[in-house]
Amino acid sequence: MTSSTDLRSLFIPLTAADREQAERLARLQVTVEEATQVYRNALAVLATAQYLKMLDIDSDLEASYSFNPAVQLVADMADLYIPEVRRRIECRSVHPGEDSVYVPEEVWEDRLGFVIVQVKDDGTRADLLGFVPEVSVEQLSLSYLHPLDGLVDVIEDAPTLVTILSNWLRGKVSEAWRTLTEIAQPSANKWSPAFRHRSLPQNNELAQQIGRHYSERHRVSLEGEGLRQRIQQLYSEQSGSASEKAAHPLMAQIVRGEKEISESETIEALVHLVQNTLDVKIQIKAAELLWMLAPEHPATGAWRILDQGLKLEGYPLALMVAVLPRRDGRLLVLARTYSLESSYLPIGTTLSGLDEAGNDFFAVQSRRQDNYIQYYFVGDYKDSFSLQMSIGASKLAENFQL
Amino acid sequence: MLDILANSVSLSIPPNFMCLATIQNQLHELIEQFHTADRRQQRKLVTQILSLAQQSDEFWQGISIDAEPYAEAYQAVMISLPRQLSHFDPSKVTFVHWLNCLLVEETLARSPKIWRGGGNTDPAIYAEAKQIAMNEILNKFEQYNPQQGSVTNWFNFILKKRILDVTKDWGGKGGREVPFNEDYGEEHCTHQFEQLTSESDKIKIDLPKSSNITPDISLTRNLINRVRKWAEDKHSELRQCCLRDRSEVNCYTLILMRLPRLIERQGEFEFSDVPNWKMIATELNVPESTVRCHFKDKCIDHLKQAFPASSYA
Repeated sequence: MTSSTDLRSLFIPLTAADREQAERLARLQVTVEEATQVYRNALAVLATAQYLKMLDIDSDLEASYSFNPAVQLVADMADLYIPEVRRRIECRSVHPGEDSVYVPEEVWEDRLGFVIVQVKDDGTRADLLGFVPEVSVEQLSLSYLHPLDGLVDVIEDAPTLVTILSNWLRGKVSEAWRTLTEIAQPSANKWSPAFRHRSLPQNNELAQQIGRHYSERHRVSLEGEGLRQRIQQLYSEQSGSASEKAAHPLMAQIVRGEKEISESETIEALVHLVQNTLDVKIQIKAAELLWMLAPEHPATGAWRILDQGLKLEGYPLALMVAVLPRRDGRLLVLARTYSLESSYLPIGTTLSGLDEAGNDFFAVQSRRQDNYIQYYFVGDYKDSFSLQMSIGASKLAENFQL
Repeated sequence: MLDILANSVSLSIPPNFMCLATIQNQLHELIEQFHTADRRQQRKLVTQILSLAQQSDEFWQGISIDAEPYAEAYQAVMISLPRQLSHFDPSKVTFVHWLNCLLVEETLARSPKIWRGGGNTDPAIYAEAKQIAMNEILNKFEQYNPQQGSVTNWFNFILKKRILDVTKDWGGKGGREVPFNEDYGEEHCTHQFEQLTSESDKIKIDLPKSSNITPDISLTRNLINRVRKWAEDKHSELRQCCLRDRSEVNCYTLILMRLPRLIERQGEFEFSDVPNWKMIATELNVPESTVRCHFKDKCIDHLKQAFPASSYA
């Protein structure tokens, strides 16, 4: 039997399209030396992406620093982003015949591993020589390389990520979680055909789904008298005394129908509702209305979609999570599941929340013609939970901390 | 690589023969394991299988002659390999031969130089002859000699011969019109193959000679200007993203420090050298690791969000 230690390198021929893609990136450099280095490293990244594709491990060039020309101007990075584990591997090129490889100190941290790729000078072939899990010298001897198949263990054993939702409110969001604006406005979201490893149809589908949902809601909610009525309704649905409700003079005027309200006053009214109501349903609805009017307004909280090509039983799904601060110092969380394939979720799609002990604290299931399923709840800072989407026996879970 | 393996076996056995046999046996063992392994193990095994197959002298590396169609074919075969492995039957053929057949089929399917029949060949005859030629080339692929030309040209040579065969065969039996004149015989085909072989050498000229890339300075300057303008527009936000108690060490300052600057020197414009992290750390009087971490954790993300890779499409 062949043990892992018998492994030699893995040869991958590079196509003209690979070279063109790398060259386009490299031309946006300042010197021939830098351009050549960027070119060779880009080929190393593409060869590694090709290898991962064989292993059915998705990679995302667009999310990789290595394929971002602006980043390449100010940093020397040759990373490949792996959405499955939301981590990066560094892919460094080496010339044939060299016995060590240059790995700049700026990429030593936060990498799942370092794949070393011998790139032929004419750019026609790459040989994946092996990998190392970590680097602490700038000139790494190739004798330290581990057999390539060990990279599988590194990726499979990558620690489960926990998304800290309170960080979102401070603007610290992992790139896997995309804003609704990014998703719902396809014009601001031009996917490059050059980035072949990106799941293009899913992103378009996601954009359509989210865009459709919001445009329908927008039409119903915001046209004509609709908006005033929605605000009046939200306001009157609040529990509490009339004096509490009328605490904001503008709100009182809107409720009594005394005033034509401008857009800025509408926003002000909604912000007041979002920030002051303790009714979770009203807070969510007001925040969603506010988002439609002013998506960047800080009072909307953070609304994000995990764009990871999640699939259950072959059905592509997206998970949306929103987090909003509350007047009582707690946090409101909204979880929502969309289908990416059609307007409706597959019947029986379940979205559930699990506490730290793994016990369900909610579970909602889709019926016929449900566009999405959702649940919202309030928690305290540092609370941990998981959101799980399931169809039949297939499950996908994401871990969170407030 | 083969020599290393050969050293470990008895010298009384021809080294290459033993080596190939060893590789074949190991490959068949690995493939057997693959069928019953879990996903993680399968991922490791398919890496080992492909890597080991490449060590065989029999493995076809058409990169220098069939170049582009081969590279595209190889990448396609590689991706489908884990699924295709279930179709491999070790009792019929060796793994390397089976893999070569996949590569040949995919390469020929992508090759723009496949002879299309010259415009006067009956499509039915062409299709029949093409199928026969494909089977023939796959069956005797071990006879292929890269010194004599590309696989595409070898295929074209065989294809033309089989078109003659099929034409004669069908013409005799079914009275179909013969599309070729009688002079187009074996000798002509051989001559044609030699011509094609010499043509195939010219294909190599299209390949890049070195990986030295010359930057497109106007594009680069445009990008630098855009980044600089963005940094100025967002300077208050970028300045707020700073080290605790060291507001002067912020993303605005660091991004601009790392951005190449166009300077005029003796009447000519050129980019200034960008200071390295040690120089920046000294100038800002902070530890190098601190400034580098801040740049990596904060500034890069600002930049990446402002200039998504898709905006360069």
